[in-house]
Formats: sequence, C-alpha cells, structure tokens
Amino acid sequence: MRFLTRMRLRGASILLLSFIFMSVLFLMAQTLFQVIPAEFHASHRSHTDLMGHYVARSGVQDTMSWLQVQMEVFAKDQRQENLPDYNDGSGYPHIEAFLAEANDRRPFSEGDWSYQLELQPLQDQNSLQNILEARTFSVRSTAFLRGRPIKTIDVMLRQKTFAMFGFLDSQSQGETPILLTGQPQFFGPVHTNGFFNFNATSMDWDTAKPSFADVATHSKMSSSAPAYGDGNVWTGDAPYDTDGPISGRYEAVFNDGRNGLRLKNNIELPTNTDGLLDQAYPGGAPPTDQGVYVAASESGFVKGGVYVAGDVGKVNMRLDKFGNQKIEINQIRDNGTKSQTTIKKTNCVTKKYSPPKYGTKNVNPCITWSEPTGDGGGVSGPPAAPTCLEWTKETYEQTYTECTETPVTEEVDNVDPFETHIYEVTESPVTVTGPGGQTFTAQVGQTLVLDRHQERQQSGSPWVVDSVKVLDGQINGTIYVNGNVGRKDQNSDYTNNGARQEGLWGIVKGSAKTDEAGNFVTDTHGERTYNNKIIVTPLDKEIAIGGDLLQFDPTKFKAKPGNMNLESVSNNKFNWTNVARDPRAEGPDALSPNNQHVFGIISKDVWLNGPKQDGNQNVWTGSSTRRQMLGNDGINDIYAVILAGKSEVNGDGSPKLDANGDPIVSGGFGTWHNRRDQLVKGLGKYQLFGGVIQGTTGKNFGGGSKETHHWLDGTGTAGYDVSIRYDLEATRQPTFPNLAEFRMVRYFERSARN
Amino acid sequence: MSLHLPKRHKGFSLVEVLIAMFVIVVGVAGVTATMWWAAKRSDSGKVMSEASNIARFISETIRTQGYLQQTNLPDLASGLKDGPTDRRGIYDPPFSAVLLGMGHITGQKAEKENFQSDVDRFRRNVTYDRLNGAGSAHAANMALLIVRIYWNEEGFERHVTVESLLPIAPL
Repeated sequence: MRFLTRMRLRGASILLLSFIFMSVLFLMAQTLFQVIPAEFHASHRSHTDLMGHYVARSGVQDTMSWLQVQMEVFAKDQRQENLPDYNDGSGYPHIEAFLAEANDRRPFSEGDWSYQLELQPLQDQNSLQNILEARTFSVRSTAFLRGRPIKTIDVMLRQKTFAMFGFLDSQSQGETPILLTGQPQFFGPVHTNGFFNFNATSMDWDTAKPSFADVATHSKMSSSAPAYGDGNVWTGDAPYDTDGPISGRYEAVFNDGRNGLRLKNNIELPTNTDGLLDQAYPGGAPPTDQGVYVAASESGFVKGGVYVAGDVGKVNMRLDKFGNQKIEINQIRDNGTKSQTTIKKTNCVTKKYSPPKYGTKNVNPCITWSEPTGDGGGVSGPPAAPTCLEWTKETYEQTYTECTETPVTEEVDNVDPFETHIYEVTESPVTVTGPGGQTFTAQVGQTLVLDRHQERQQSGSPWVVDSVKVLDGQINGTIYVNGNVGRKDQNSDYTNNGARQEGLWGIVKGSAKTDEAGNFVTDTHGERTYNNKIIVTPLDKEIAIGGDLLQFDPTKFKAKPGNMNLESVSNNKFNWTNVARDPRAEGPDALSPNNQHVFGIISKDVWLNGPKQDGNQNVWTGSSTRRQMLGNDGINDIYAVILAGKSEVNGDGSPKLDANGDPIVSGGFGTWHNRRDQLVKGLGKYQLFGGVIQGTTGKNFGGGSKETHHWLDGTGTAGYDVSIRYDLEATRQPTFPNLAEFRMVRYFERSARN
Repeated sequence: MSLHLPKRHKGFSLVEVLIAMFVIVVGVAGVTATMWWAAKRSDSGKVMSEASNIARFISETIRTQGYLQQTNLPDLASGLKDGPTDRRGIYDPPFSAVLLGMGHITGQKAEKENFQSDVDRFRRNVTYDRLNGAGSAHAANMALLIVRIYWNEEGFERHVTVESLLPIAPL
C-alpha cells in the first residue's frame, strides 16, 4: 500500500496501472493463443503430411502395379505392342492412357485427396526382350489435398532380375524342412511360391545367429499354421505364441526380425528364353543345321553371341596359354556320309505242338445262383448279384510262339565328333593352322572360330580342321544352345546326345565390350569393360554341370608371372586357379568384385554331375577325363546364378493351372538319382557362389527323377550337400531374365506445399 | 478570505479499487481460461500425433507383412479386417507390440507396459478392398487400405485416418 500511495502521490492512476497490468496479461494470453494452437496446428499438419506421404506413395504403387501388369501381359502373349513405351520419339500412347485413368482416380474416402503422376521411360530403345532388358522408369507422384499440393515423391523404378535371389523355390510347400539348427545361411532374398517348413527343434533362440540375412517371402499360408502364427510350418519350437510374436525369436532367425518373413505375390518363372536367343543370334531366324554359329555382319564383324543348333556334349570354358577365353563346344553330328549296317530283324510265328497238347478253359454259360430277396420277416432287400456256381469247360489245342532272327542290311547316317573352338582374343594374338595348312592369326580385339572333327570310325584318329574364321570385334557373352548340354541319358560316352558327356565346366571370363570400330570399350580408369557371360537353352532342355566353374579374376591375372602358361596339359584347373577368384577364401576374396565376369546358367533343368571326393563310392568313372582341382578336395565350386525351371503355358500363352488353380511349373536344380551313392553320402559337396532359382525340388530319394539337396550342414545322408554363398555382384549381372516386378532404386520425398 | 479546500485524502477511492479489481479479475480469468484451453489443445495435439503414429505403424506392418498379398483378402473373421463400427484394441491379433515394432521402443519390459497403457486409450478400425477401377486390369491388383485410430476426448469420439493403396495378389 505504501508503494501504491507513493505512486498515487506521484499522480499515477490505479486504473492506468490496472489497464497496464491487464495489457500484460492480454499479451500473455494472446501469446498462448498463438503458441498453443500452433502446436495443435503442427500436429494436424504432421498428420496431413503423413497422409500426403501415403497418397503420394499410392501413386507410385499405382504406377508399379500398372507396369507389372504390362510386363505380365507381354510375358504371356509375347505381343510387342503390349510392352510399356520407350523413348523412340513416337510418343507414349500406353503411358498416356494409363495416366489419364490414374490421375482421374480418387480412391481416397476421406477429404479430397488425390495424386497426380508423371511417368517417363528411361530406355532409349526397345530391345523387344522382355526377359532380358531391365526396364527403367522415372516416376513423380504428387499428393493433393483439395487441389493444394502437399507432398511429392520422385522415384526411379527398375525391373527386378531373377538374379537377385539367393534362393527361389517355386514349389517348396511341405517339402524338406529348412533345418535352422543346422545354421544354413541365406544371405540373399529367399522366396517360395508355397510356404516354408522350418525345423527349429532344439533351437537355442538366445544364441542363434540370423539364418536369413535378407528377407524371406512366401506366397501361401499353410492350412496347419495357427491363426496367430505366420502362415508357415514350424516344427519343434515356434517364434510366436497366442499373443503373437515372442520378442527376440524372429530376430534370432531373420536379420530384420518378424519383418524379415513376409507374404508376397506369387512369382512366375519365365515361359521362354526367346529374348536371349535374339541376343545370341540377332537379326533373323537362326540356322537349323547342327553346328556352332557366331553371327557376323557381311563385313565380318561379330554382331551377337554364340548360337548352337542341336545337343552338345560339352561346353568347356577354357583359358588359352595367354589368358584368352577359349570356348570349346563338342557335338556329335552327321558327317554327311552313310554306311551299311546290319541289324537283326525278329520274325515270330504261332505254332501248334507236335504231337498236339490239349488244355481246358472256362467258357460261358455259367450255372448261376441268386440269393433270394427278403427274409422271413417280410423285409425286402436289394436283389443280390448272381453267383457263378459252375463254369462250362471246353477243351482246346495249345500253341506256342517261335521267333527267328534274320540279318537285314540298312543304310544309316555316319556321325563324328565335331568341335568348335571360339577364341575371344583379348590378351595376345592367336595363331592356328587351317584346313590346307594355311596359318590364321587373330589379333587382339578379334574373334577366331575354328571347326574341326574327328573320324569316329577310326580309333584314335587325329582331329581334322574343317574351317577357320577370323572376325572383327568380340561376342556379347550370350551362348544360346538350342539343345541339351552334357545330357547323360545313357552310360555310353558316344550318343546322339553328345560326345564325352562332360557338360559345362571351366573358368568363365566376361566378353570384352567393343565399339563399332572394334576398339575395346574402357571405363573412366582406362580399364576394359566386359559383358557378363550367360549360357541358356530353350526351356524344355537341360544343362549338366560337369565340374568346377571358376570365375576369372583380372587383378590376379595382371599380377601373374608373365610367362605363366595357363593352358598346360595337366592340372588345367590348377593353373586357372592362379587367375581365378579363390573359392576357399573367407570373406570378399572369394566373391565377385564386380558383375563383369559373373556367369548365368538358364535352362529347364540344371544337373550337378561333377566328380566326387576321394573315398566316396559313387565316383563317376564313365569318362577318362574327369576334372578336378589338384588334390581332389572334393568340393565343386560353381560361380553362377542358376535359373532352372519354367512356368508352363497353354497354346494361347495363358498360364497352365493345376486342379487348385495354381500355375504349373516344371524343371529344377538337382542331380540324377542313379548317380546317388547308395552307401555313404550323396553326390558330393558343391559350393555355389550366386543363387538358385528353380521350378521344383525333387523329393523322392528313391526313384524320382531328381534328388533333393541338403544344405551343407554335415548331416546329409542322401542327395548331395550344397552351400550357397550369396554373391552380391552376381545378382547385378545385366544379362539375366527379369521378373514382371519393379523395385525402387532411387527415392526422394519432399514437401510440395507452396 | 482564504478558501480552505478540504485536504485531499491520500489513497484510492473504493470505486477505483473495485474497478481495478474487476479489471484484474477479468484479466486473470481470461488468462486462466486460455491456459486451461491451451493445455487441453496441447494434449489433443499430442494424442493426435500418437494416433497418427499408430496408424502409420499398422499401415506399414500390413504392407511389409504382405497381409493383403493373398488372392482372397482376409475377411472379417481373420481379425484383420473390421466392420464399419468395429473398434479393436491396437494390440489385438494379428497385431502385437512386437509385430508393430512398438515393443522395441525401449526394449525394457516395464517401459513397454507403460507404453501399453498409453496405447490402451486408442482403438483401431482397419478396412480394405480391391480397387476395381474403370475396367482396369491393374487397378484390381491394388487395394485401398484405410486405417482409422479412434480415441475419446471430452465425451466425443475423435479419430485420425491414414489411407493408402497397396499392391496385392492378382485375382
């Protein structure tokens, strides 16, 4: 009061003071009015942004779905006009039709949300190969709220490749369990069109390491899985209970926890490999006569890959002494001559015995008896079938069959072993002698094709060179065999299915890229660039892998002693290991440093038919040219991504379905059951650097056409052991069939508010 | 003659004090009301943010788990899809704190239970249907997923909605 009194004495007014005080309070209140609603507004705006994010992403999903349908339609009907547009300067009729529909779509029920799309193809030409060229698109999706832009997402979409999978099994439901206690390590994406069968018996969830470093997806749910489960079969312990996932358990198996095991759309396998045929032999129908063809222009410039008509016994990927890739392809062919051959024809006649022999047989009529209907109580039953009491007997004269063999002379085609050697001359010139003793030299940058044959009728006859061609440029890496590779129908070395059934083996080096002038294409560091190699057959044929398939290592090649002869007669592979990735190395030294020398194998069936380790009893001794690394360590090393299988289609291209409405697939990755060891372990151990994509897995150990495999856990008792080491670079090989799916390779989200 | 005016009283008149008190009371009452309102709105904003996050968790879980990657989308009996008036607990099957990723916020059981109690104030409603648009083949390969999160505020039911299109298994 004393203060107020003093203020009063100074002429102040309490009213004035009150108003000042009120003004301060008013300012405070006004501040609160501003701040607190702003906070509320911020949370509302945050929700609007979240919704904008989902709406914009819905536009991206819309686009991806459309692209996927386009690719699926094309995969089924193979009509080029159904492919998405590309930059050929003639506009984008498909894309414009899609955008007209999508941008008009208002699927969202709350508010006035919508999205606007922009879609731009990034490929400048259409190779017309849906399974080969990974299509790439740029998409911009903007979310609008009552006409106001809220959020924009820019993405780049790229078609997925089958090579991305560590393991894909189209039909694995209910099959051999994946034994988690055996610690199989899946480093790449794993998918099944069925459901998984996990065996977690004796599982120590606390110490288990993730077995699936990437996502594992399945397309079906097991009917025996509980509603609170994940749709897969868990033998032993499960990672969930009635309350849902048990904390820590999924994390013990899947690197991404429960999110590492997901449902996903069914993935259809390719129905054909026509695109790759076009890659190997572009510009028209390929030859039909048995033989090996390297397509070249009229000026002698290589313009494709390698096309092989007919079955082949071996495809041997070699290095010559200088390190040039040398591909040896062996066939049994008609040599153009005929010979007379005598065969025995059997003629059989029916004769009567002399003296005659007689027998008796039952003939109608039969004396029958029928049980009376009804009983003493007056209850009627159905009429009983008559019972035959006694047959009528008839006597007849017995006969026998007598066969005689008569020699008959027939004219047959003569066949000889033919070989084609293709030199990709990239390191040092290659000189060979032609048919007339003439010398041919291919310079670095050229390709040399040598054809020769051996007269099979003359034991030990020398190889005779039939022709030599020197072409400019390099092949593009695609080898298309219009037949089987190393098929082993019989135990004979020489069959019409090929000579010396060695199958596919060797060391694989990429095919150097050359420009139109034949010069090597180099990267920014001046290093040569390579197309990865791929061997492919139609999807009703087979490829047998007869031994190691190593991968060329350019770094080790540069570091090798200059005089090292890489084509010594003995221990070829031992020398090759000096310039190959080291499959025994731990860590990255074993894996591919880039995608240029990785290998792809595509067929309906891919068989393992390599040599065995010492001591096992099922060593294949049918050939004297077994290939194995020095010391016979018993493990076959295969650097390749293998696609073995196909989706079956009807005549009109529509998918063939089984009784359950599921697509029918066939083919797979396995081995012949008659190669199975009956006493000890199976066919040996294989280490695969890459991935396996297969149609079916054989289940029948005893008599099926294929054997199932065991993961390399030391417990396998039949079949063979195989471990798969996911090779990230192998998944990036540009030449490999693609799925009708797209993935985001670039994602950028930003506010679109003005 | 000198005029002696009465000596002015020191201090304020009663009227002045009353007016001043009135002004102050009005001011304080206004500020108090504002703060009370502000506090309430602040809580609403926080709850709305939590609800949005939960809706996001559920949308992402449905997407990443591929719940809709089936030719026959899960029906009402599955526990995933709800009718228009259904209100389920956030952690009712098929979801759980672990599955939604919310159990990993702390990693501590006790704190998870606290989080559980916060989540208990919310209810979910999830619906989805194929997007059968204008005869388009690819539209049928997508579903419109609507996740609504409900809570009560001052006796009124409030909610946030997150909608998105998801690719699903083809028919």
